[in-house]
Amino acid sequence: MSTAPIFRLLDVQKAYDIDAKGGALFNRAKRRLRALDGVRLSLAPGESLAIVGESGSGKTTLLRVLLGLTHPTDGRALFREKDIASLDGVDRDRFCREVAMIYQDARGSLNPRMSVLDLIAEPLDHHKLCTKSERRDRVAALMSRVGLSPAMMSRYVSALSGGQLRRVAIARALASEPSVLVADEAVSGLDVSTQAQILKLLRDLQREMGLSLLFITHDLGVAAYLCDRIAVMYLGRVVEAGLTREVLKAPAHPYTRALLNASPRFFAPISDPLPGEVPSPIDLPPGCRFAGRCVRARDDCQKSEPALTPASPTRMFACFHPLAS
Amino acid sequence: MVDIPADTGLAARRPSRLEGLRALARSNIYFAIASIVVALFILSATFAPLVSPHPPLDQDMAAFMSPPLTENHILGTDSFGRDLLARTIYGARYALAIGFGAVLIGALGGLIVGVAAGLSGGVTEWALMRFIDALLALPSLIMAIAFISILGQGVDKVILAVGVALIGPFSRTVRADVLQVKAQAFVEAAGLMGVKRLAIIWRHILPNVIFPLAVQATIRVSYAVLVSSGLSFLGIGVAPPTPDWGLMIAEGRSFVSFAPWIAGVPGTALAILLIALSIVGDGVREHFDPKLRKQG
Amino acid sequence: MKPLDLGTARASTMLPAALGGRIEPAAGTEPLLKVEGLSLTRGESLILDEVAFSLRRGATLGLLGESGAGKSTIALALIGLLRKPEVGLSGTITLDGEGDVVDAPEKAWLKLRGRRVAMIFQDASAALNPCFTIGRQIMTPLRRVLGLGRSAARVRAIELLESVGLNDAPSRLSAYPHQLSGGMQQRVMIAIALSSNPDLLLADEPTSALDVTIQAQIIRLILEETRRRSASCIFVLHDLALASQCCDDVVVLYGGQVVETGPSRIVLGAPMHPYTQALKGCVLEFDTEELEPLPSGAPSFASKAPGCRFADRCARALDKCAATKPPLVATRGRKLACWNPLP
Repeated sequence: MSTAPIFRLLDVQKAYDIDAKGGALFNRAKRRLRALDGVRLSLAPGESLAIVGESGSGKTTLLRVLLGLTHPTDGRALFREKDIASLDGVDRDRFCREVAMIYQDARGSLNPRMSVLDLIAEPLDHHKLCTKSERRDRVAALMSRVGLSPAMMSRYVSALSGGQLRRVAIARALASEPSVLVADEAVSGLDVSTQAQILKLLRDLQREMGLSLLFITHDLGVAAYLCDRIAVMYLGRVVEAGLTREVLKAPAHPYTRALLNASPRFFAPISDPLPGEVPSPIDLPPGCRFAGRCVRARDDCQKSEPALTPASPTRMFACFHPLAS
Repeated sequence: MVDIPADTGLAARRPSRLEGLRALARSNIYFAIASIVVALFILSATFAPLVSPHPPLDQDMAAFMSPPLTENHILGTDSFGRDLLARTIYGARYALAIGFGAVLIGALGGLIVGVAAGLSGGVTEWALMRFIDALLALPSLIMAIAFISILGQGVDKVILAVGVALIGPFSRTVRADVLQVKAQAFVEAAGLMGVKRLAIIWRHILPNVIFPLAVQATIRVSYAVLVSSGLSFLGIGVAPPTPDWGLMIAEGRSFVSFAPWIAGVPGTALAILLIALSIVGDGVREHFDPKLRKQG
Repeated sequence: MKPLDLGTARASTMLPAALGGRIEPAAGTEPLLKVEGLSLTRGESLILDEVAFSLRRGATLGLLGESGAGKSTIALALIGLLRKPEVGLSGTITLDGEGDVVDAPEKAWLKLRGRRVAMIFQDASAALNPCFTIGRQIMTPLRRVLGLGRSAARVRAIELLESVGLNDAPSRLSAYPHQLSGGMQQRVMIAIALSSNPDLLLADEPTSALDVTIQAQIIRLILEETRRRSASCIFVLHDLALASQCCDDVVVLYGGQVVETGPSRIVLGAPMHPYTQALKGCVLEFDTEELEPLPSGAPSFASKAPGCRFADRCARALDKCAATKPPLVATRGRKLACWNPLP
């Protein structure tokens, strides 16, 4: 098994052109919305990475680029060192098989007209991973693995609870024997007790099967529990990345610090909130994109954008005046 | 080892459609009555030769234009001495056959056009949308008349004409459903798995579109019956002496002041069937639609 | 909105305890709200089973539990949106100065809503009418409930919007809800709710739909604004850590039954009920190594089922737990309903 990274993003940019609003009739000046503005990221085999960001951070666009659902307007998105956008044939089949996605809306990601058996067996059938006679047994094994009683295989989506649906979605993701699990807010909207079960399941699976895990979330606690590494995104860029424990214990970027402070912790006083709201990603002013809300901003922060620079082999951040570690 | 959760007491299997409808019949008295009425019509139409007191074309000139409750003719006779009950029962055959047949054609045609419009893009979608717009621009009755004028009269021609006239409305609802299903996450998930486009349509999109279509079809049957009766009333539907209700109403028109039952009996039967079909259709739609929204 | 300087404000009594201040309850005052034996049935199901708690003036209370526990149901009952005959309601809800409002007719509730009790909801974009401007939605209650004239209402509306931290208030008045972000919409809803100075504000998961940095802003806003008006606030929350930060007292619900209630520092700091402890164990701190999830299951709402509804999932369940419902008794600074509490 090669140690080459599974996913690599090199200065990936995804921009949309927006028509200027309220301009003169013939004013065709277009404005650019940079959903992703130069993202640099990699995921090694067996590694678990959390992508943390709030709304407008670009994490959803990042996910879509990684899955090949949308192509970057600049930069390169690579799967096993090949451009995701131009994968086809055998490479594409391999990609579809190795990368399994778990959606935020578990119920919506499962066809309501198919039984649990058919839902979980679909990847098995498509990738021809087992014979017809083995089909039922394989599905039963997968269901047990995720904590579902195999007797439920004849049920339909409408008869299952939220937690059970997540498990079905996970079982289906595992059916294709993937090497990477990609999850988009896979535990949001669940009760804490169900969330705890699903998280424990995911972590156990990831460790036992040596899967790579890319987990998108807004919840730092979930990121800390599930993933060894974390990347914090703000307005289309990674502003800090590193080992989760290190980053959360001593964040370097003021935005990470603000996220930490804002996360509810038992009996901690409510933090000084971050002033203002996330600015519009259209026509960002020059300089660091966080400068407008940063309490530590200085003159040089408004002039140029700090690059994501490594501070150590396992740590990098994009800030001219990082917090002292 | 991961905990295997106990049964949480949710339904062991999806409740079957029939059970749901039975529950509906229990809760809504109108639905129950209407279902029974429709069932009676269907049964008497199917077993017409056994149920009907006389053959529909038999003329009993001695008793022509007798009012209802005459001996031997419970609902009276028409101007040719034909027993009205017999003709009404046989008329139900034609009404229901035309109604269901036309809806079948309309639904099938609507399915093909709607799915094509919903899944294609660019110029094809634009062209199909304009085609559907054209179909919808003409009222169904007018369109059916136009087709009859091309095809000629007769039961099969009526079925075809009304059916084609229904393609417009059906394709509109099918296209809307296709667009909605297409946007669901499970369609994207199948694509990510690498499933080919045709397989996605067959396995994921069609099953979720057929069911709402079936519900729509049950609602439209009464409309199809009405349109076909209208055609027959105008004299351009089925040919006499076929015992079609619309035709019978037309025949009884001239006698309405002194023998109102000749038009009244088939008219009442038509009205009752239409109301009952509408209530059943509404009940089915209400019962399944909210779930459709959740599922689809 | 200026960041609050906690340094100088900490010792002040201007802030609720959650922000570092201290509340001194005035001696001899009746609680603002007292709920006793509140039970709610819908058909065959017993949705709320003898819920009881009380709320002091100026304090904040958290209704905690998972989905289906009945917290939103209680909030809706407290603002008179769940009444007979749609549901069966028994018990008492005593609002200071109004008496028992459980049986109050709709006419009486029309006077209470907005004036004494107000509510904000989880999804502001769904709670605001998309067809009307913000200005119209704020000014309508000002004119109807407070009887202000048009220009007076407009001035007051601008004041309210500024007090909830919306800058450029005059132009916001002519904006539509969809033109504002989620956080701003929630601020508008808070402004509308507080416009007639109610004594009690109900906040049903006010920040669940918002980003976490905006969540802190909104919670602080709610706490400060209610404090400024000497109003009390009831939060419906599922996040225990957040509840510990912003609520003076908490009521923990399971399956429509109160399992533990009392000051949040005591209940959440040293829980005695197994469910509270289990919930707390599911909260992820940054250094959580192991998670011990609760076994799966859901409470049964059958009205005939006796006993504690948590018994079938409880690791400490005794035989009597499923047979007899434990009463709510005062123990170690809180009230607890458990036959076999944690030591």
